[in-house]
Amino acid sequence: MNRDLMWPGIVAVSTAAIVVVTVLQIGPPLAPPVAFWFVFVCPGLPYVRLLDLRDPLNEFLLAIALSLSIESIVSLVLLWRSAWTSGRMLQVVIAITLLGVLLDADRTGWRSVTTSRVEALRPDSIGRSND
Amino acid sequence: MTSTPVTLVRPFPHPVELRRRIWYLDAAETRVFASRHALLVSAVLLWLVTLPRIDLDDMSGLGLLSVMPWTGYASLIVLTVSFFIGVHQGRAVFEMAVHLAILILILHATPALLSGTVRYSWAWKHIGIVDFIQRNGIVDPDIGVLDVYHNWPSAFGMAAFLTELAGFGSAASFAAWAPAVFNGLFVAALVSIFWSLTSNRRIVWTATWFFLITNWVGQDYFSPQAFTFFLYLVTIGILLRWFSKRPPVVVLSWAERFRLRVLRGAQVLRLILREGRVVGTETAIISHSDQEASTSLEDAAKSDDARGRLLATTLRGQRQTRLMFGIILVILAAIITSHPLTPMMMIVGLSGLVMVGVGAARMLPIVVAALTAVWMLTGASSFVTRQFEAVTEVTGLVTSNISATFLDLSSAAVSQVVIAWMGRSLVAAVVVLAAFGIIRWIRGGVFDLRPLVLLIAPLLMVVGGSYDGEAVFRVYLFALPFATFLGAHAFYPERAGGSSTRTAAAAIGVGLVLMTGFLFAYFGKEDQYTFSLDEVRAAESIYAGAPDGTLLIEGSPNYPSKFVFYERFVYVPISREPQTNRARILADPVGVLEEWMANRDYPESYLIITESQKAESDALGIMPAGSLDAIEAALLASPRFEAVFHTDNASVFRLADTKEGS
Repeated sequence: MNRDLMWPGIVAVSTAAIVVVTVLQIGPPLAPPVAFWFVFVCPGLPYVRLLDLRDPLNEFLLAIALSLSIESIVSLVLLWRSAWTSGRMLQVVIAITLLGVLLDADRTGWRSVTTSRVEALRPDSIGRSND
Repeated sequence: MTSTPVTLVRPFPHPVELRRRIWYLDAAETRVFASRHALLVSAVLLWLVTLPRIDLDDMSGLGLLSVMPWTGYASLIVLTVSFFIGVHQGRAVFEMAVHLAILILILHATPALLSGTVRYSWAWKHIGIVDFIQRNGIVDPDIGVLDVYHNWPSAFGMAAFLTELAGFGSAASFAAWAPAVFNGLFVAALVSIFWSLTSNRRIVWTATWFFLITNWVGQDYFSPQAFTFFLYLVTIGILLRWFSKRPPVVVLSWAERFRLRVLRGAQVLRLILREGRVVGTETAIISHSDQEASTSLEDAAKSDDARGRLLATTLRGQRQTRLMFGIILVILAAIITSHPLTPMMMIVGLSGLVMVGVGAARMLPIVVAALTAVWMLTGASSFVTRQFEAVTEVTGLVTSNISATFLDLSSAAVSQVVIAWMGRSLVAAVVVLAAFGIIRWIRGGVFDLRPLVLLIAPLLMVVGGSYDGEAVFRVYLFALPFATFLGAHAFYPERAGGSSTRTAAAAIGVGLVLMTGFLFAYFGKEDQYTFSLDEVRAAESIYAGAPDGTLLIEGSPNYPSKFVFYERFVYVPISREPQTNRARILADPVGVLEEWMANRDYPESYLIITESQKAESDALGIMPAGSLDAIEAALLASPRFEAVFHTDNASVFRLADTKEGS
């Protein structure tokens, strides 16, 4: 697997996991770790990765701060509209998360995959690989 | 040009050998490992031995300290020694992070492990707001009780979302762990901030450790202020790391240092401030070393080296910069709509950074002020309208706002007086340590205004109000990271260098003194702050089926209250009644309380008395010692009252006649 796509993949899988947990109404002890991981990290991480900080501590710190902030603001909007339910909130947060995943994958994965394929087809790179 | 052949000095081991080395240690490696980590492992073992030996039911006036066996203190002493030896030896980041994580667990997971319930009565009220949102899907800004939370509801909405996703019925299921989680987040944010202020890792670790053992003001529980404090630290960290250019380095000769100290103090200060503005940053002066070339102040400030350091901390390109600003705005929006006080701290902190030349933050104080004003005039308008007069009355009354924080110790128990003075002494110790650090910092030739303004800026908040008697606590909390950062300079110089054994010993000594103060100030009231499961069950027995408008008479508000269906009740704490009413109740508990509870304005009436209420009332001298015990005994003996719940730790009463009638 392309390393650049690892984190978008993890966030996408986490999103799928939280959907499964919610739809099947799985409770403790399985649901809490999935829910805490998703709520604390997933919505913010793809956007923080767009910064290309190359600094794991600060990337995760920002991801947590941004994730919780995004969820706070989404909940505020829904509360203000008297439309807060956890299901509706989950839909909005998942949409924000997946948008971030697409942007992150677009920035890192697809481009690097394409670049590496083009590089591999170039005669000089073939020559280098034989060295 | 010929290239030099590379000699492979240490060939990479065969995978089988590598795997063996990872999983198995030979005798020599084991000895090294054991000697390096013996203290750390001992500290953990001592803590694990301590946990089952603590019986919270035996707590007296000194809280957790009164039931802590010697192994608990030994654990903290050994951990402190191990940590500062690690600092002295310059051990790896991972090892130091493990020390910090273990300290957090010992200090902040112990109460949760021992009691299994949420600490602090006000944390239970926050759980009640989450419960309100879970049940109703709305907030009610005009609600009569706990209205402030309905006017700043973002964090509660997020917590309700987390509770539902995790499959919990109530946030009480996980809120006991909030102090450990929040302190972990604070530490991560602080390490990030400190790394952007210094490259000396000894200062980073020492300052972080000092923060943990001096943050005694209890603002780390399940609450919007803990959440927004974390966001505040992250925002300041972003600005310091990516928008505040690192101070250019100025290397001085001995002659220049002499002139700096003796002859040209004021002149150099002016130059520093001017240069700081010219290059858009503050100027650090690092003292002379024989190995380094000396240059003049002006040249060094504009040197390529200095500029290189400036560029090294900037983001890559406009796109990333705009994205980072977007992230800051989202975080600020969450802060502004979650907590009324933190945006004010943010405004003064950001303004301070602008004053010392953090150019990128120039517009942020205005943005935060504008967004805060918008929120106060829209989402929080009902609260602001109601409280406007009260706030304007106390604005500017610095003395009264400060004194509102301090407990009236005239009628408090001796143990409470000791605990209160330990807390105050700890604050004084932090101030002295920071002052000493600042002096050593400047004498060492360093001048960076950023931590200084972030230390001083929160002090302005005492002008704004008493914040329900918590103004000084909040100021202390927001100033503390930078006080401990500067305090760490009392031991280690700004420029990374060696550390003498004497310095390490001094750091251990100061660390142990601060730890002692922390244990008294933070855990000294544990008999009031920790609740038994009986108390939780007693409250649940009332909340389960009570109709709207039920009267709930409480010995005091200090128990797990308002955490479910909280809006259905009218609360009457005896401890908050006027003195004449309290005297009447103490003179004739059965007669007066029967009269109150028979009031037909309420569909049902209950009275709850718990151990924590008694502990608080007796310790603070709210009523004569033993008052709540006397009331409870009188009601238990009276045929006119029925105990619907009764254990050694809690009792719930209602009128016996009411039951018969219904």
